[in-house]
Amino acid sequence: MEEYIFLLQVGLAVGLLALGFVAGKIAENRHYRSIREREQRWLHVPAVTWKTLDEDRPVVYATLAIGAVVVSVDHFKRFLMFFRKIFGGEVHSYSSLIDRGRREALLRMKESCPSADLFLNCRLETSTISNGQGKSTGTVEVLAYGTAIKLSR
Amino acid sequence: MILTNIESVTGKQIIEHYGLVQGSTIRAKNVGRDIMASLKNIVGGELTGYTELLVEARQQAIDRMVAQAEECGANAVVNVRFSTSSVAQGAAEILCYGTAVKVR
Amino acid sequence: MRFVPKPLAGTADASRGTTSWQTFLRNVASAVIILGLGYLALGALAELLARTIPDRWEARMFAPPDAAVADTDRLARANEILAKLTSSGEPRDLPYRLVLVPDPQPNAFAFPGGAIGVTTGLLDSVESELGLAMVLGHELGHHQYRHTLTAIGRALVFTVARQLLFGGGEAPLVGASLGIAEAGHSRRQEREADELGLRLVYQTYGRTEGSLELYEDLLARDADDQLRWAAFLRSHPVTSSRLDSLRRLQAQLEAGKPVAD
Repeated sequence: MEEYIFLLQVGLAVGLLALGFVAGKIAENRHYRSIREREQRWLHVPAVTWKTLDEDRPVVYATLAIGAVVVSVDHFKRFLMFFRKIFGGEVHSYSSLIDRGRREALLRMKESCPSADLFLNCRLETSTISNGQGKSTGTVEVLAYGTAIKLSR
Repeated sequence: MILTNIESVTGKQIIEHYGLVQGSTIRAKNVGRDIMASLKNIVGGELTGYTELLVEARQQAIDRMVAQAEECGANAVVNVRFSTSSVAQGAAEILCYGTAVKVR
Repeated sequence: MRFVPKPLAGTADASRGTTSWQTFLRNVASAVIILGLGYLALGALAELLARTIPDRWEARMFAPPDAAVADTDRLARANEILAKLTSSGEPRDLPYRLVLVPDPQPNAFAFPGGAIGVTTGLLDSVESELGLAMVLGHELGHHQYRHTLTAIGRALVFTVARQLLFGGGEAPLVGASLGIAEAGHSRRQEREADELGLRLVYQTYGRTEGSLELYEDLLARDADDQLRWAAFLRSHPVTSSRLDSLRRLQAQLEAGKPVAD
């Protein structure tokens, strides 16, 4: 009897890992496709990190633009992280999470002001979301903000 | 590739800019460094293991940003900013971003 | 300065951090190998430490459990048998004593410090002297090889190692794989105890017929329950296989052949 319960537990753990891997991969690929397509669309509107405006045309408006996103890691990646922590080094499974979050946040910043011509003084902030007991949940919030400038024609 | 964290490259003029370029990396410590750090917590002082770890990570983030700038055809990245944050317990993300420009 | 939009092809994903499946498999293989070696090394270390504890320390550190019932009448026969078995000089110098555990299931336990627990169910179901001697001999086998101390030592060492390596969270499958590995170790210990028990019986009584009474009883009782495919999960070897090994050993002893240690 105990053998069945034990095997059930193991089977459940393996099943969740497999589900995390498959579903996570699908979600990630879909997100990256969307990111790449939108980055192409917004390529003509620059986001820069400096403050000076080197333009002769008068400014119509300048406003704060914010893009924020919260991304989470799937069960399989969290499992890989445990083993990575033994040996140290780059955590490849989490890199894609952060990369997606950041690029998505920047796109949302640009999309929040669709008529802007450029974004000045862009900054990026990352923070973890924990569940209040100091335990990591693998959830990260990325914030991108800058000043959207609209120039007259 | 010239990197600055002011808005220009001193003594040169920016002729073209290509927008934001960024690089990031996530590194986890290993068990050995972790144990040394716990011991160091008793005595205090610099955690050289961790310092090394984050220095390597920061260099990798910079290299990735520079790779993006090079693909744009830039020869400098100005107004570079860094950000470090803890992503999961025992892992830190280093982010490096700036604006890719061509100077003359 | 003017803005020149440049689409990034390769380096757009520079921070994405993909690994090829070859690297992934290599990482998995090296993790499994290193963790496996670590497990074996820690297990060996725990056993080494257990072996260095002198008999007197063990006797002093551990006292028999309080569930003991001082029913010396029922234990009288068992105590006689125990005295005969330990007089041969081979068992370690521990203060062996029997404690009675009220439980209808036939079972016997070895406690660190030299105590051997027997259930009321065991005394009721095993009738022959050699049958009871075999059970007591098996428990003496656990004491002889320090299985009790080793079990405690291993549990301690693995708990500390798990805390250090995976501390702060629980990696799935780690507990399960450790459980399976430890079950294998436990089965090996049970076989060693079986072997020593039978040899002690032979040394003390000069014969072994009827000593496998309890095993045969258990086999008859759980004949349907012997899930062979799940044998790797159990802490004890499957009863039929224990009986096979014991009968082989019995034949060797009776034929007078020297048994390899």
